[in-house]
Amino acid sequence: MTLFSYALYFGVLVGAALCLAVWMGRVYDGLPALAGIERRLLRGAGVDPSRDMGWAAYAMAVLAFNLVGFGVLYVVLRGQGLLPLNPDGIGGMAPDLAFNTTISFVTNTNWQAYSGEAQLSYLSQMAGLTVQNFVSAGTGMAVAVAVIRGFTAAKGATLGNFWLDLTRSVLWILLPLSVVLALFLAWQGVPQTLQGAVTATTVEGGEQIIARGPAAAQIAIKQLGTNGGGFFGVNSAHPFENPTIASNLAQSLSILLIPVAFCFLFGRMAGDRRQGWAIFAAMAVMFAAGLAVIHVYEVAGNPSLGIGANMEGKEQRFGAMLSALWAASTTAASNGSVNAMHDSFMPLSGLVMMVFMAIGEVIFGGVGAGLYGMLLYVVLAVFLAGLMVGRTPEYLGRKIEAREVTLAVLAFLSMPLGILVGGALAATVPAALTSVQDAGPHGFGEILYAYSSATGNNGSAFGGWGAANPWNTTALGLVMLLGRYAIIVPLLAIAGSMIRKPKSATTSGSFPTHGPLFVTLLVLTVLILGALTFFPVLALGPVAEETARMAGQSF
Amino acid sequence: MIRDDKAAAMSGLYMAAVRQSVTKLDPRTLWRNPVMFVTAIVAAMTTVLGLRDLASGTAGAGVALHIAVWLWLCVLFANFAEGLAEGRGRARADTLRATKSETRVRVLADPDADPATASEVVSTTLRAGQFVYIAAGDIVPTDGEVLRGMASVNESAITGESAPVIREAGGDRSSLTGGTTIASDWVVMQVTADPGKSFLDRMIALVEGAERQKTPNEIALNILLVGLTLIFLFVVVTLPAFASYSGTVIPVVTLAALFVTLIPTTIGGLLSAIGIAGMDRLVKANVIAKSGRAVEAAGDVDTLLLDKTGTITFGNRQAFALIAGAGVDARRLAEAAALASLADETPEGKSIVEKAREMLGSVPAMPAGAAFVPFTAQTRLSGLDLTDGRRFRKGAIDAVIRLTGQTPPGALAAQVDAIARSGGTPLLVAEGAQILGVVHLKDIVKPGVRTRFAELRAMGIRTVMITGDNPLTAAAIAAEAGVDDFLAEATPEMKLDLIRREQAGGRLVAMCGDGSNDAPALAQADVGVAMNSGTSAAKEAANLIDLDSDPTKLIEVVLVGKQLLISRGALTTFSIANDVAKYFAVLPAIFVAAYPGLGVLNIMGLASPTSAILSAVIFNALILAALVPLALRGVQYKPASAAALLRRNLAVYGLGGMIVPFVGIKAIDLCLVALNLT
Amino acid sequence: MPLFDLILGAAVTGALFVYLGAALLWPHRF
Repeated sequence: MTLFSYALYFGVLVGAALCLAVWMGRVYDGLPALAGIERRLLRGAGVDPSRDMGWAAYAMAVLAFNLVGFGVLYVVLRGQGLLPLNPDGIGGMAPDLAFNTTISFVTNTNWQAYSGEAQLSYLSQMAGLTVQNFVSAGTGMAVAVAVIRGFTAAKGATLGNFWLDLTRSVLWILLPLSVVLALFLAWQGVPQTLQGAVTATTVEGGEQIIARGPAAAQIAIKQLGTNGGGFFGVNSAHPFENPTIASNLAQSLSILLIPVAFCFLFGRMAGDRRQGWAIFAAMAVMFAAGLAVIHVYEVAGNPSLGIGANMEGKEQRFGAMLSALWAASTTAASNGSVNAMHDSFMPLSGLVMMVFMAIGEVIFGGVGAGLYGMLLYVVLAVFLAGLMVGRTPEYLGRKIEAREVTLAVLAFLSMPLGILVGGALAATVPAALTSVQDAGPHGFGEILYAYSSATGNNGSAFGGWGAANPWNTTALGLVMLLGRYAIIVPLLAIAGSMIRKPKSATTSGSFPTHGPLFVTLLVLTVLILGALTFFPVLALGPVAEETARMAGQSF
Repeated sequence: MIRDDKAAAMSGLYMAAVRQSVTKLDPRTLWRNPVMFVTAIVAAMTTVLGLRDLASGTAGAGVALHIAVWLWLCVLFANFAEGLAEGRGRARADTLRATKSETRVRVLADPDADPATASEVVSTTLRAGQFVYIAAGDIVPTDGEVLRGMASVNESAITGESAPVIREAGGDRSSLTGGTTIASDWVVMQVTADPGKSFLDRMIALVEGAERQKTPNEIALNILLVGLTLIFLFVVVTLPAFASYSGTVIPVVTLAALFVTLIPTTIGGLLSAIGIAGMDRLVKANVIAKSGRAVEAAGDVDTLLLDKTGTITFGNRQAFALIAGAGVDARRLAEAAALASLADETPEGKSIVEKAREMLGSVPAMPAGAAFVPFTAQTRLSGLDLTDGRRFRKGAIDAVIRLTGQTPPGALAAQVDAIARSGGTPLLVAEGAQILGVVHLKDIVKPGVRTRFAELRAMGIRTVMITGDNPLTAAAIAAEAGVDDFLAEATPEMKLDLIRREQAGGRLVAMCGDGSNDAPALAQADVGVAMNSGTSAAKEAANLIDLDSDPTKLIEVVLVGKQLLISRGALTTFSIANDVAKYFAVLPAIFVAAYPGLGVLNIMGLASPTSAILSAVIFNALILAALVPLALRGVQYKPASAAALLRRNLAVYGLGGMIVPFVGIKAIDLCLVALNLT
Repeated sequence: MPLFDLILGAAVTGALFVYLGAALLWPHRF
C-alpha cells in the first residue's frame, strides 16, 4: 500500500512533468501568439529581446537584475513601517535580518530568520517577497535554459537573451501554474485576504490573535518556484498554509514539478530524450534511496519514546509517511518549505536531508538550478570516466577540456567553502554558538543543517536553531550568495565555452551518456565527490547522534 | 652472454631511476607536479613535528616519524616511476646520439659545381640552404634534399631496417635523413635543417623527454587533481574546528595523514610516467610523434584514410584462379600458364607459377634452349618459345585475340567479363593459335585486415580506402577488405576534399602519406603520419613520422593513443574510488575517543586508531608503487565499443578501486599488529 | 592543540591554498 502510494505519486509527478516539459520547450522556443506581448513588455522596459547575449553579457544581466532586486527588497523591508498595506503596524526590519532575508529571497533560498506573520507587513509579503519568489525562480529557470542551450544548441556564440528568457519563465510558466494552484489552495481553505489579524476568544476565555493575510498566492509560488518561504512562521505545517491532505499532496507535487520537467526539457532541447531520462534517472535513484531511509526511520519511530512512528514535530493530519515524503522532496528540490519540524526527525533522516542539500541541491534541485547543478556533476563524471574509453572526454559531442574543467572545479568549490568553512566558523566562534539549541551531536547537526541549507539555497532549517543571531544572519547571507552566484557564473561560462565548440559525430566509439551504466556513473560521482566530502562532518553530527541513540543516549 | 648484458642494462636503468627519485625531490622540479609537491610539503611538516616530539620526548613521536617516512616514500615512488619512464627513453636517445658524429663535409658553391671545387667544413656548422657533396661511405651530415645524382642509402641507424634504399633527385624519394650512411654512388644535397633542428635532434629530444610539454588532456586532468586536492584541503583544515565542538583535539600529524591519503596521490604520482611511457611505446613502434598532442588526437580519431596499396593489399596483382576454356583440361592450362610465365620475373608472373604449382603439385622445369619472349608495351604479351616449336603466350585479352586471330568461345568470354567486372584483371593463355583459358589476376587483400577493420568499426572508427583504381576495382577490393567506404581514382585534391568533408561532419581524420602532393592533406588531417621514405614536405606537414614507412602503422598509432588516455582515466578513477575505504579507516580512528559509538564505522575492524591511520598511509604509498608497472606498460586495451570499454574499466578500476583498499588496509593492519609496530 | 603545531599547521595550510589556487588558475605554467 505504501509502495503503491509512492508509485502513484511518482507516476502523477512524471506524467505532469513530461507534459510541462513540452509546454516549456515551446515557450522557450518562442510562441508566435505570445511574441507580441513579450516584445511590447520588453521594449517598454528598454530591452531589445532580439539581441542574443554571450555568456558574459548573460551573466552580467543576471547579476544586475538580482542586484536591483536586492536593493528594492532591502529598502522595502527596512522601511515597511512607513509604507502602506500594514494593517498590523509592523515596524521596519533590523539591518542584519533585512540583509539576510533579502539575499535569501533574491537567491531563491527563502531561509527565514524571521517569522512572517509577526515581522512582515502585507506589502513586504506581496510586493517584496512574492515578487522575488517569481523572479528569483525565473532567474534560475532562465539560467538553466541558457546553460542547456550552451550544451545542446548548434555551434554559435550566444546563449539567448536573459530578459526574454526571464519574462517567458515568469509569464508563461510560473504565473499560470501559480494561479491554478492558488485557486486550488484557496478552495481548500488557505486564506487570501488583505484584512488584518483576527482576535478571538478561546473556549477557556483567553484571547488569541489569529494571523491571516494574502497567503494562497504566496504559497502557490513558494512551492512551484522551489522558494519555500512560508507566509506563516511554521510554514506548511500551519493549518492555514496547508489545511488538508489534498492541499498537502498538491503542494508536494508542486515542489518537484518544474525541477523534474527541466530534466525532460533538457532531453528535448538536446534532441535526444534519452539524455534527459538519464539525468532524471540518476536523480530519481538517489531520491528514492533517500526517501526510503527517511520513511523507514520515521515510520519505525524512536523506541526510547515508545512504540509507533516518530510523531514529534509532525502534524497529526499528515502522519509519518506524508511528512517523510515532504521532507525528502523539500530538501531534494531546494524548496525548504516544511510540513513537519525537521529538527525532530530521526538522526539518519536528518543525515539524508543534509546530504541532499550538501551535494549542491542536484537531486531535482531548485527550478533550473537543480539541472544546471547536475550538469556540473555530469561534466566531472564525463571527464573522469570519459578518458577510460580512450578518447578526449565528450558530452553531447562536445569536448570537455581544460577550461571547462577549471570552471567546473571553481563552481564545485563553493559547496565545501560554504558548508565547511562557514560551518567551521559557526561551530567555533562564540558569537555564533549562541544559536545552538541542543547539546552534543544534535546541536552540531543544527549548525551543519543551517549551512548546508544556505549554501544549497534550500532555506529549510532545524527549527531549534536560533537563526536570528547577527553572526549567523550575516554569514548565512554571504554563504547563500556564494551558493547561488559562484555556481551560476562558472556554469554560464562553461555553457559559453561549450557552444563555441564543434559538435562531433556520435559513433560507437563515443562515450555513451545515457543508459544504466551512465546513470550509475553519475550517481557514484555525486556520492563520491559530493557526499564523501562531507562524510567527516556528517560523522560528527547525525551519525554520532544515531550511534549514541542506539546506545540509549539522547540529546 | 646477451642475457647478462640485458640484465646489466636493466639494473642500470633501475639504479638510475633510484638516483632520479632522490634528485627529483628538488623543489625546483617538483613544484610542477602539484599533487606530489603538496605531498612533499606535508611530509616535511610531519617530519618536523615528529622530530620535535622526539626531541621533547613526547609519546607518539615514533608514530609521527613512521607516518612521515611513508609520506616521503609516496613521493619517492612517484619520482621513481617518472625516472624509470624517462630512463627507457634515454637509453634509446644515447644510441641515436652515437650516430651524430662530427665529420668534415664537402660544401659546394652551387648544386652543379664540380665536387673538386668543394670546400671542407665541420658538419655541425652546416646551415639550411647550403649544398653538400656526399659519396659512398659518408654519413649524411644532416637532413637534406637530393638535388643531383642517385645513391643507395643505409638508414638502419634511424629505422633499424638494414636493406639500403634508393635516394634520387626529383620525385618522392629525394629526402635524406641525417645520421644515415651512403652505401653506394654519390649525391649533391641541399641542407634543409639548421644545426640542432634536424630530424635526428628532434628525435633525440623527444625520446629523452626534454621537450616534453603537458598535453591538453594532461593539463585538464591536472586541473581536476588540483581541484580535488583543494577540496580535501578544505575538508581537513576545517576538521579540527568541527572536532573542537565535541572537545576532540586532532593531532596535526593525523590531519596530515588523512589529507595525503585523500588527495589523488596515485594518479598524481603516475601521471607524467604514463605520458612518457606512452610516447615510448610509439618510439618502440618506430614512430616519432612531433608532439604529444598528436598522440592524444590519434586516440580521438573517427575516420582513417588508408591507402589501398601496401596497407590493405600487397600492392601487386596475383594469380587468384586459372579457368580453362571448354574442352581444355585444367592441367593442360596450368602447365601452359606455368611455361608461359617461367621466365617472367614480375610478381604477377611468379604468382602464376605458384598458382600452377598449387594445382599440379609441381611445375615443369625450364626446358633447355627455350627462348623467353619478354613483355613489351607494344605486344602486351610475354611467353616462352620451346625448341620443339611450341609457343606459349599469356597477355591482355585484345593482344591475345590479335595474336591468335580467334576470339575466346562464349563461356570463356563470359568468364573474362565476370573477372573484369569483379575488379580483377583477366589474362588469356594461348598455345600457338589456341586459346586455352584465362588467368584471374587480382589484388590480394592482406590476411587479417578484415578482422582489423571489424575491430576498428567496433571502436567507432570508420575506414576509408584511398586508391587510384577505377571505381569498379575499388568497390570489389573495398567489399573484400571490409572497409566502410572508398575513394576511387583518387587525386590529392579529392583526398583533401574528403578530409574537409569528414571534418565538417564533426569527425577527426587520420591519414598517412609520403609524396609532396600529400602534404596539404597531411596538414589538413587531424593526425597525419608521414612515411620516413617520403619527401621532406610530407614529413614537415605531418605530425607523426613512421620510420619503417609502413602504412599499417596508422592503426598502431591510434591504439597507442587510446591506450594512453585509457591508462590515465583508469588510474584517476581508481585513485578517487580508493577514498571511500580511506575514510572508513581514518575517520573512526580520529573520532572514536569523542564518540565511542562511531566505532561502528570501523567496518574493517582495524586494531587501533594508530594502526588504522598508519595502515591507510602505508596502503597509499604501496598502491602507488604497485601501480608503477601498470603505468609504464599501459592499461590492457582490447578494441571494443566505448560502452563495452566503459563497462569493463568501470568494473575493474572503479569497483576494484573501491574494494582493493578495504582488503589492502586490513592486510597491512594485520601485518602491523603481527610485527608489533603500533 | 599546542601553539607550535597550530602555527606550523596554519602556515602550511596557507601556503598550500596559495599554491593550489595558482595551480588551478594558471595550469599552463605548471
